[in-house]
Amino acid sequence: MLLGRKVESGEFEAVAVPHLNDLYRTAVRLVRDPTEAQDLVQQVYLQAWKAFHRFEPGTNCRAWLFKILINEVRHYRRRWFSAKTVPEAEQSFEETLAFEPPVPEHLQDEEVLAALDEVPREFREVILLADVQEFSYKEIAEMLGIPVGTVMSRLSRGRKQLGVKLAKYANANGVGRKVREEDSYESVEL
Amino acid sequence: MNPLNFNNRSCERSRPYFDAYLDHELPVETHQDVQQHIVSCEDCARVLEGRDRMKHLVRSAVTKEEAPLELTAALRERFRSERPSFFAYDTARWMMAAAAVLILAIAGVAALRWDRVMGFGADDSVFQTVSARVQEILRVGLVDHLHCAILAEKWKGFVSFDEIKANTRRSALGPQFIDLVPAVGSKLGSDYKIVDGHRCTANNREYIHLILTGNEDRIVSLVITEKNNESFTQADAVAVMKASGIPIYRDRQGKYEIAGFESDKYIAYVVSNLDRDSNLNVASALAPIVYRHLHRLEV
Repeated sequence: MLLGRKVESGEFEAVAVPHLNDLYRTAVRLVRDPTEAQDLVQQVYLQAWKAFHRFEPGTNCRAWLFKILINEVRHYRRRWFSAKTVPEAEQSFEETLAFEPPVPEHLQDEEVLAALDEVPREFREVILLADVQEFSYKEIAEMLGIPVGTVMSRLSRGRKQLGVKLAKYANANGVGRKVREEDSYESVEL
Repeated sequence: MNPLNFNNRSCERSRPYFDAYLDHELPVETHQDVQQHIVSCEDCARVLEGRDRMKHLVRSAVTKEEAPLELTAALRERFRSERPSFFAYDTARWMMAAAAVLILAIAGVAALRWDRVMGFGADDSVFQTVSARVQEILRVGLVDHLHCAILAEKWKGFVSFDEIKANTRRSALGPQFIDLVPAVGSKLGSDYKIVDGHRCTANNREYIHLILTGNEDRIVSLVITEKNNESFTQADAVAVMKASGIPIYRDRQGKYEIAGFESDKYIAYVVSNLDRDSNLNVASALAPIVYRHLHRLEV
């Protein structure tokens, strides 16, 4: 369309604002700083608002907003960490394990988030986009500008690392014992 | 982990596909192969179950985080105060836009003169300005029309009255509003068909929403929401017409025509891609039955 669409602020709000929580959650987990995450999300909406005349109704607004978020996070990292390029993380200790420790059933949210925060950013990114936001591999590949095969390998490596970290948190806090206590409590209630 | 099973060729072959299997990203045949293996291998079934549990743990922990209220407020403030940069368009587009504005201005002046010659345009309400507050109240209805009917493209689907009635999920109209569906249908006759009726949430606000379509891609929404300190009368709005004594207010926002009326606790909207008079016709036909329905709920 030569002139783009006429932009209505009501239309933009209706389309874009429902994704605010999802964008904020992802930003917090990517930069691990709620204040920075707020600034990033504001920046995302500002960019989206400026470019909204090019947005085609009916196309995936959520994926579009997340792509802007990913770019903003990259700018943020370049600004603060002078990271010119992020090399693919080296194989971690967790990935070298030949077995997969069982994933604990009862963990506090804080423990899950702490374990997730320890996963390298490029893996954490795909875990958040696939497992939390439920984007398809193709959508994630487009957002990150990488091939689908790389999405799959990052996801697989990231999940494996996360699994080991979760098991470590569970062992450190005696989650096995907690599970049994909760089970017995539930049976008393019944 | 059973080392015998781990060395089994079938496990080795299946495990690299576990993540894509969980994410429903495998071709059908491969998905079935993995599924068959899991049925016969307890170890792999346990591994897969663990990975699935991990997905749920992460999703549940991350989604508990909510954006702070001040962020929502700051964004809304920015939407209202900022407009997209005019220079976001390139020069060629800018020139095209300027030319289009000029043509429209000339056409507008010509149309006004023609109206006067022909005796049209006597209706003062055509030139009536609508205050920002009234625009804001009317936009509440537009938001839901855009959210469900247009952007989610529900106008293209068809949900029968039986299906609307049988809905028991959160989106059900429920006993309070289900009777509106046949009432609206019979009032508008064969010109419009009700293609959806549901309860929905947009911008943290709950709506009752009936979507109707007519010939030539006419899309009409009847939207009802509880008042949140909004009132046309308190906003000193000027009604463009009355239907059975019920004042109706209107505005055009972009390509959408919005007509609204209120009861004590609710505001109802008719939002459409019709012209001003046609939209007001629909609103004036529906206002008495909708108002009576809402009044019954209030007492």
